Amino acid sequence: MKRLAAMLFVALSACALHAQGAVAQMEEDLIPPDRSFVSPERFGFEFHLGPYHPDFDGEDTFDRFFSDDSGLLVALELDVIGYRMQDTFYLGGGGGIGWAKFSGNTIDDAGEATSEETELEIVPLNVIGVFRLDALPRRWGVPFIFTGKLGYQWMYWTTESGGSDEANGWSLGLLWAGQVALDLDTFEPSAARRMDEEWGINHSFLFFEISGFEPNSDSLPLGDTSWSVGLGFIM
Amino acid sequence: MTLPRAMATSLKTLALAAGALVLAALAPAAASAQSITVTINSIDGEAVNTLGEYRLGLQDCLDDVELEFELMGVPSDKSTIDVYEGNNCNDPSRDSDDTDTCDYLTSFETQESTELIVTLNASVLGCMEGTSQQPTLWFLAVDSSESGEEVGQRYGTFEIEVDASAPNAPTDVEGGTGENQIPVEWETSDSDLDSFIIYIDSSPTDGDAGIGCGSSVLVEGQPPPSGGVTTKTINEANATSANLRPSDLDGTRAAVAVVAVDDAGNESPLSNISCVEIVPTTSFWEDYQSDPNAVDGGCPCAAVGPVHVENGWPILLALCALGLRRRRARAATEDVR
Repeated sequence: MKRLAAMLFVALSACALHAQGAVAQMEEDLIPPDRSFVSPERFGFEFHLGPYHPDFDGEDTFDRFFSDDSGLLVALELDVIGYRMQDTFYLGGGGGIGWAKFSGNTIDDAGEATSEETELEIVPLNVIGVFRLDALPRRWGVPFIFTGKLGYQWMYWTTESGGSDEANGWSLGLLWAGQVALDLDTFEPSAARRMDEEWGINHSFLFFEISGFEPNSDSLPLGDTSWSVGLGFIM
Repeated sequence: MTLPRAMATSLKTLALAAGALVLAALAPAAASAQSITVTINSIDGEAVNTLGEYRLGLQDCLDDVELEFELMGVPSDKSTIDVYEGNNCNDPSRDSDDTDTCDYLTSFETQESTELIVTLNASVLGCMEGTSQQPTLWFLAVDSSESGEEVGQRYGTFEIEVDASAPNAPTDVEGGTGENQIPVEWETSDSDLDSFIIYIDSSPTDGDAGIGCGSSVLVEGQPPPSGGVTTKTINEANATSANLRPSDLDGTRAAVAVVAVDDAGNESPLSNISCVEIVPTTSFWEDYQSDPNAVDGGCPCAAVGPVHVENGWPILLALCALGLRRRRARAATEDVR
């Protein structure tokens, strides 16, 4: 009887071990073969939000009508990465588009605001060269990326008053920007890897940017040194 | 296991009684089977939308608008359709003199067809000002072989939505000033509104723009005047402002009041009276042009000329060069692979 029980115990143990081995094999199958996958880096994408306040060459024309409107400027930028020195910097170029609208009231002969609306709408279009230095986060784990941009901007503008269009045109000039960004990959490297594997997004960052637009002398003086914040991706 | 005989007999009796009760409950329902389908086609010649959404207003009753119904499934062996308004008008035991619950409205000949178009006038519904009602119309088929007595088994019903209650007048109406666009703003508290009507009296009696303003024809809280004013309709249910044009005014000043119109066409009383005024204004663009430092007294940059664009060519060329270089590098990498 004891012998039979011992044989049964051995047989059951063998079955259990075999089953355990099979489960372990299945778990191994679930692990991706290559966790170090890195997708190609081709583009940079940025979404900008920030106030805009045309300086009008120091005249108070703009402030007289739109002093209460900071005209939130919403903008998108897409850069093509032309050259990449691994873990050091990107060099590329691209373009952007934005939109802002300023609303105020017309003024009467006494200079008092009436109830009638007057508006100015701008749509900046630009081409830019981009130099993005990311050696700090990639080499030493310091989460700051520095970016410089230089380009040319065509800012379409249109103005209306009392529901009727009054004028429109383009203001053209140089555009520059300096950006400091907080590299999000440094804080969540595993999430960054997953984003790359699933979405092809290599890096993501939050940024603060100072930019300047200097229209030439023939243009409506819509230039401004402004700031914006936003979210960017390297894809 | 067996039940005592007495208990088994009792259970059987109970089962029979329950069955009888169920049959009794079902019988009246079968007797009052509704077989005529009634839909509303149009109100005063205007087609009701495909969803059958409509509401009659007080003015519909006063104007005695025509309601056209389509009846489907009218029995061909009946010769007349009697129309009642009330409750349980299909009940055969109903007293024909019981006018408290069922009012006879009219009758129609069926003309040996299972479809019938009938037209009623809204005034027969007896709309009461200030109330909302949902009277039910009953279309009863009358058996010609029984001397015009209603059978009660072949009928159709239709519930009419009558809203004879006027919406609240808009409040805090405030007129503005402008040269090409003179705003009027207001507030509302009703949710079933359809549009607004601005009443404009171009001969105000006193008051300054945006403050109190008198009018000999516009009186707050009273019905709108039938003449002596011009009107502008704003066909937007949620509107809280509108802009008048100088052409809407006969002169440079006017008193205005706003009336709300609900989706049954009922009009509210007049709102408070305010003033609008046409004044010369200076816009942003006019102001910029008058600035001595303005670019050539205007803006020659209104069109993109080659002089301006060529400043950007170096950057465009640089970008193209970068793109080409990247493309070549990628092609070389693929060749190596």
